Amino acid sequence: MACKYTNFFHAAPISATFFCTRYDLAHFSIVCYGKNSSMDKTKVVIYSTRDTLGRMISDMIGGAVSEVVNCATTEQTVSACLRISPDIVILLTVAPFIDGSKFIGRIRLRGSRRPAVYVLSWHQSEHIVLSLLEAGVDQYLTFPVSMGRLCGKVKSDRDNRGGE
Amino acid sequence: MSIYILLALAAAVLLLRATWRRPGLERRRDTLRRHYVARIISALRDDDTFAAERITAHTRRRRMALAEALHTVACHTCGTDMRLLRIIARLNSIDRFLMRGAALATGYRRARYLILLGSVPPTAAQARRLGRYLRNRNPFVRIYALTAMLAANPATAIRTIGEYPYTLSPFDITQITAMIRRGLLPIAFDPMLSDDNPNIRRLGLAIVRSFGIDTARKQIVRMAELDEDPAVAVEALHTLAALGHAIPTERLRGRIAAFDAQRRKALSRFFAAQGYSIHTVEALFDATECECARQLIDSYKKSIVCRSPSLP
Repeated sequence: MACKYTNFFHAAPISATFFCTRYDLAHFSIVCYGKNSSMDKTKVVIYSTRDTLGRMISDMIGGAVSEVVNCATTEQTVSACLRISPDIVILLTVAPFIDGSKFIGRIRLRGSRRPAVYVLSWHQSEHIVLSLLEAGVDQYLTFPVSMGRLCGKVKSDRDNRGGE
Repeated sequence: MSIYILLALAAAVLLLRATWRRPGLERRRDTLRRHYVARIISALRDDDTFAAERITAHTRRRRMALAEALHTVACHTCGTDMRLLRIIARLNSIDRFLMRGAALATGYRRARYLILLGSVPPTAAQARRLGRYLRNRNPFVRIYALTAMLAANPATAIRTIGEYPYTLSPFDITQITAMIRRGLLPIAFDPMLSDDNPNIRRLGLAIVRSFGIDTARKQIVRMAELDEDPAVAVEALHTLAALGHAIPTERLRGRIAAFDAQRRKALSRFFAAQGYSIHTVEALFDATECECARQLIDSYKKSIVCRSPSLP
């Protein structure tokens, strides 16, 4: 099933040190990044209703993680979380929290691994941010997001987990 | 007669073919845009000028996809190396492509080109030619022409906004504030709050609100109380409430009473939504507006994010 990541749009070859595999199935995609054999096993699940945006965030943090799963629905997100036990879940919308469902409880249901949940959104209202933090979100970042800051947070989370 | 039937059939076949091809075209456009976004992010992440120079788009379709990709990246990131984005845009003549597109298109299509131009700013000389769109009938064309001009020449932003011939709507102010948040425009809210132009005063208030600047409280209370433009006074009250400051109710009650009923109602609900007690709302508004605020507090709309009952 694994296929070498090839770029059909330009003739320039992809650097040999940057090897990745990609499976595409409708709006659900997995990107495996691996720069070298000593790459750690940090796994990230991204939930975004906008495919381009989800992939952009996955490209941003691609250098800091080994596997990124992009999901387009809450159900896909929950099933991906249960299947791969990610270290970090990044949500690019606050929609899963609106109906008061047990979203955070569902993605942290199984096992002892507790993924860090980041929410990236355009909302700046204080009470929305506080409600999200009360709902179990670990980090809230507003768009426009700094690429360096996001990568830094993912890396520090990865390092903290590595030390556990 | 038969020739007309044949012509109608041919037209129907062409329309059907176009309809069938449309999803495929859109899919290919999305793929192309994602491809460019990935390459731009890769160049930005590694700060690789050489990789940026290798991003090419020679056809119209590819230029459009690249412009959209640049816009996506520029809109959603801050602190990015604009130099690299400019290199990509300049090497592929994206700014000239968008200027030409805006000149040839009309209505919302023109607005679309101008949105993209805001992320790929043209030179100052080219941007001056956008001035003619500031008087366009379409409000989206006007505001996106303004944002493109601001992005092209940030040093003269205040003067450009001052010369804008229409009142800025809340949507327009949000667009300009978003540019400020991305670091494209300077933040100097203090002189803006005391400017003669109501548009600039309202933009100054939006900056205070957006960045949560607490030091401007006294000035904002004075504007809420004394500003000759009711729209600016309402905006100042919104800013005070958004920052969660104590409201000097005696000083502001008379001013609020002078507003029209619609503004009073919207303000009372906004105060309630920001978490002010019903006593504060009662001290500022009449019974009708207080009832509106009370209804909002009692409703489920107060907090759009509900706490999950089964937190780990």
